[in-house]
Amino acid sequence: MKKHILDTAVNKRQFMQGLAVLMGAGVSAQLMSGQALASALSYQAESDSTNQALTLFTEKQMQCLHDICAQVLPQTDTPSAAQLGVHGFIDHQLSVCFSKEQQQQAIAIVEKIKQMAMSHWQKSYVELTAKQQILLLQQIEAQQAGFDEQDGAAFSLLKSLIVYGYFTTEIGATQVLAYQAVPGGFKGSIPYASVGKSYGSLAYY
Amino acid sequence: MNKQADLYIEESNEVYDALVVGSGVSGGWAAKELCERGLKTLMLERGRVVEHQKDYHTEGKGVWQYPNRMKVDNLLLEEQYKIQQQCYAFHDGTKHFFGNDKDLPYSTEEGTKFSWIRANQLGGKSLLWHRQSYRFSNYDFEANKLDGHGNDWPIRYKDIAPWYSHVEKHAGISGNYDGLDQLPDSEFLPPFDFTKPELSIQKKFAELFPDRPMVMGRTAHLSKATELHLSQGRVTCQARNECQKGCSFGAYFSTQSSTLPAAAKTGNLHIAANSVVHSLIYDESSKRVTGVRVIDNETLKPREYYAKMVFLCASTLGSTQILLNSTSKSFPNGLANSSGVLGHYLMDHNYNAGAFGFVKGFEDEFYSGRRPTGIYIPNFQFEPKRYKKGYQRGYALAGGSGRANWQQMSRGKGIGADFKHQLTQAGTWFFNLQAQGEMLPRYENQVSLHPTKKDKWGIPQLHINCQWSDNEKAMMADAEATAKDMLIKAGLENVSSYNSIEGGPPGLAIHEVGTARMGHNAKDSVLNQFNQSHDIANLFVTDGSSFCSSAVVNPSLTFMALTARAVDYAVKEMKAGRI
Repeated sequence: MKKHILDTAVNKRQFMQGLAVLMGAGVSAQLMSGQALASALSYQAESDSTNQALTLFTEKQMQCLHDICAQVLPQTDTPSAAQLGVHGFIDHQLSVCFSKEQQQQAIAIVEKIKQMAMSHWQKSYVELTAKQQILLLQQIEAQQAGFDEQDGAAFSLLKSLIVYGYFTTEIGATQVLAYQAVPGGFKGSIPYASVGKSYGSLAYY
Repeated sequence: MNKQADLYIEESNEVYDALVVGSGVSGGWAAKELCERGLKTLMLERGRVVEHQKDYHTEGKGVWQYPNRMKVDNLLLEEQYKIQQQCYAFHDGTKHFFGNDKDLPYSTEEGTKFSWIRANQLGGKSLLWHRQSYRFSNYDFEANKLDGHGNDWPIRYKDIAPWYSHVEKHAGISGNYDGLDQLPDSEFLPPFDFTKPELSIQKKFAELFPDRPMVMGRTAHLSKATELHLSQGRVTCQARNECQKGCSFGAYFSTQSSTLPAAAKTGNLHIAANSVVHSLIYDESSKRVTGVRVIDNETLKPREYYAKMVFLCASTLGSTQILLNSTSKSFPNGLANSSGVLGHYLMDHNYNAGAFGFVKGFEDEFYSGRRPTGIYIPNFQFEPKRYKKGYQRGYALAGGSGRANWQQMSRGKGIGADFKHQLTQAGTWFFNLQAQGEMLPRYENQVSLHPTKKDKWGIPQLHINCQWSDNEKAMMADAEATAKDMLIKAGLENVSSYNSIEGGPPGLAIHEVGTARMGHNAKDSVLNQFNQSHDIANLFVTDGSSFCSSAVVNPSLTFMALTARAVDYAVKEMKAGRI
């Protein structure tokens, strides 16, 4: 069997490391290698997933995660990650497809965000203004104001889940991105402007 | 397919003209060629029936329709797919076509690893393969003789060339007529397109490395269906590149889309599914095989099937396991094993090194569709005088280009609308090369039956002892450096490279070959030049186990050609009364 481009785990990992060089971000292949044992509850995307049974996060953490999702990928001319229920997806996906360590990493960063909101502004994260919520997340990425490298890595994991969860919803894949269910053949050269966006339809996710 | 009503059988006392064990690439071809020559043929498949179109239940589903968005539940991975999950094509949309590791145990020699990927259902790995299709060259058939590794192939390119043509026209192989001695052309449908960055890199490579031409990957997809294919109910490839879920367009080669309907159309085919072959039945007096002993996949009850001739097409390790388990007075160490080489000389391909980088520019360029193939640089060390210092034989480089997407950029920095917008746009172009190295045939790389452990069907487990040798290690080190050098010299940016041979055991190229090799001589090989057992005239083994060397190219097209050629010979022998 032939593997090319990103077909193998090794290739994909290497490629992501290459992107880390390009983008200066701490990219890793954690998304590819979830290992832990966990219960399998089917997740159905709903417009508001805060109401569904939680498997990993507490309700308070979930409210916080809802707002993190809403800030990382906010509402523009397309819905926000929170509007597409990505926080609920994360709770499900982490518990079913990720390791215990990764689950703890994700919980820990949400907890830390809650704590830092309290220590900076004496408010819970969900009570902060949008500007404050954004600033706090930027501080994690910059590893400043009480956030360290470990927090940065944990947030990076969370963020990869937000992005994956968002662009693999029906709206994310088919409306926010260009979706070719049946492309009708391969054309090696077309003007980028004729599509104007990235594809949500991939051979391998 | 007509004759559908009596296609599937369970018990039968009939003596068929031929039994075909296995329904994958080789088994499908054996059945088609036998049936078309008028032989009443029974195909045995150890797994369940998978019907074309009807049983591709994940085909066409959006990623959002999977509960875990294409990822597989950890619990399931841990319990059932510890090995299978290592395959690049394993995911929630394909896992039902992979074997269940829990039911299919095997052992490996201490200190060694081998990843054995299984596909036990009607169609076998013909449903899962990536469909890359290349002819062996005459250099490949001569290599063992010229450099002394392994035994001499008993055939040369001219012997198999007409059979390549025969299978290619039916299967449908896309590619460009490149006119390369080291990679002979097939009977081609049109090649898939290059992207603009690929054309630019191709041009640079041609200037810098004239001995390493970059061609379009050749693949068993109908880039343009012919009348013949349309008459088979197959249409042109839609470039979904989701082939392993099943393709109802029949736009690729699989048993279900191509060989099975042709065989069934003759009215000569019967299929017994859920038939796990335990061993072959050998008659000492006539020195012939007379049938097979089967354990039912589900009920575990034994039964037998009988035929005048047997084609073993159960996959490289599957066929060898059956032969090893078929012992008798004349063959205490495995049927057709008077040479003692059965189980030895296991090979795979070595995919453990490569390089990638980013391509500047081309921001106005994009592609449409998902090309089911990539670019290919054929082995450029294809004869002894071209070998590099430090190791023998060579490797091909496969790869391709694309634009970075939201998933790959998901861990980039940024919060908010700008970050979101960036993710919705196609990113920088990238390009990669992955080595596909030849593995030398070595006696030490061996499979045997475990002395005590058995599977649930009561069949002794296979014990695998297979490792990369210093030759493969030196080759990957060179391949990494070479691929990196090529990308840097071609002007790519942020070029990185890797060599994962220490953590990448054999098996995962899923090109396992050898263990029942062909040869001129009954003393050092299992099969003759027509894949016929030296010891038993009515026994043929036409899958990858028959290979004398792995060569560099993907093996499936050669399984097809060897099988068709062997059937042609077998039927002539039968009609002449010698079988």
